[in-house]
Amino acid sequence: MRVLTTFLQTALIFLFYFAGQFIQNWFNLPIPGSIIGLLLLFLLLTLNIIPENWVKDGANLLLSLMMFFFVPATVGIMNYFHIFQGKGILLVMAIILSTCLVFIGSGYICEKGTKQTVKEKENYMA
Amino acid sequence: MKILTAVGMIILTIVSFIIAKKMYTTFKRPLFNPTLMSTILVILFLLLFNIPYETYMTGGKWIQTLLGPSIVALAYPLYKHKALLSENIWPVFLSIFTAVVVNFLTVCFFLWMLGYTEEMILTSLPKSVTTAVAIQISDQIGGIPSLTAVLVMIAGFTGAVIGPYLVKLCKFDHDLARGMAYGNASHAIGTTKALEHSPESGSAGSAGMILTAIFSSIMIPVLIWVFFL
Repeated sequence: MRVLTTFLQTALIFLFYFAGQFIQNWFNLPIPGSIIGLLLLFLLLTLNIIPENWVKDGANLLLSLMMFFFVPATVGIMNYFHIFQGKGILLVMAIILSTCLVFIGSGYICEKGTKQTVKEKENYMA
Repeated sequence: MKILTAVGMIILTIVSFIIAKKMYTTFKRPLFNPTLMSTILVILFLLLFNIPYETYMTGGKWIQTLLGPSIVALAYPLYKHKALLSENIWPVFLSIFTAVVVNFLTVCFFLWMLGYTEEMILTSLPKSVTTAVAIQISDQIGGIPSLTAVLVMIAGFTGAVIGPYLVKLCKFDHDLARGMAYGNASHAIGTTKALEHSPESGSAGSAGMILTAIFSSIMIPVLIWVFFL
């Protein structure tokens, strides 16, 4: 029974994906179908049109396998090994360093802002 | 024969992922990220038997079709923890804004310092955006989309592998800050790591990924117009 409901829930999430793809093609949007599908599902969950337990198990199944679904795309790196050679290694280092700085910068701003909000709340309570 | 090859490639991917997952649970180090390790295992196998990527993808594409729906599934943690985001609208907004600007400036500066061409800079700019959107941005601003996709992977693995150390180093102890850092810098690959921390930071990660994608597709062309004209 559990297997069947999980399967049906996964199928429902697929429907949202296809709907997102369709909307993207129809309106020729620059945002990919998967993101549109995500926003659509989020919207319907928030408006309580779709109850949480209609997608819960299916979503958790897909999320637990997401790391696996990435593999074929990342294997594509093998066609670009030449960019890692010679001067290319500097490009890779630059990308890694830049990503670390984005990580630190956005995390820092968020941490600061969030802490303030918590403090404000505490002051408010006091 | 063709079907047999496809099935073989799917089995290869599954087996390598199971091994990678085992390695991860044994060593518990971010470097043993299951996606990264199984990617390496698959590539080693393909190189060993002289199989081109295109042949691998006859099977790999079936696994890849599931990636889109699993991104849609991120709507669930996003919904589940939406209070965390709505209570912190400003930190979230500022964090995304910072991410897009820091990404733009550091990529331009580093690549310019290294003497790369304008085309390479344009190719690298969307690297912190989720693949599908990054390819579109790259195409739009005059980069090389397929190379952008590779740089997106590197940015993703940077977050998944180095991210945990940066979280400790910078003492990001709020779920929101952790998730935002992962999602904004390293899109969906980073978000899978954030999900490991806690469902809350996973939710923040998916929000960061989505908003970074949307903001980048608007802000990168504008920033280019400002800086390159």
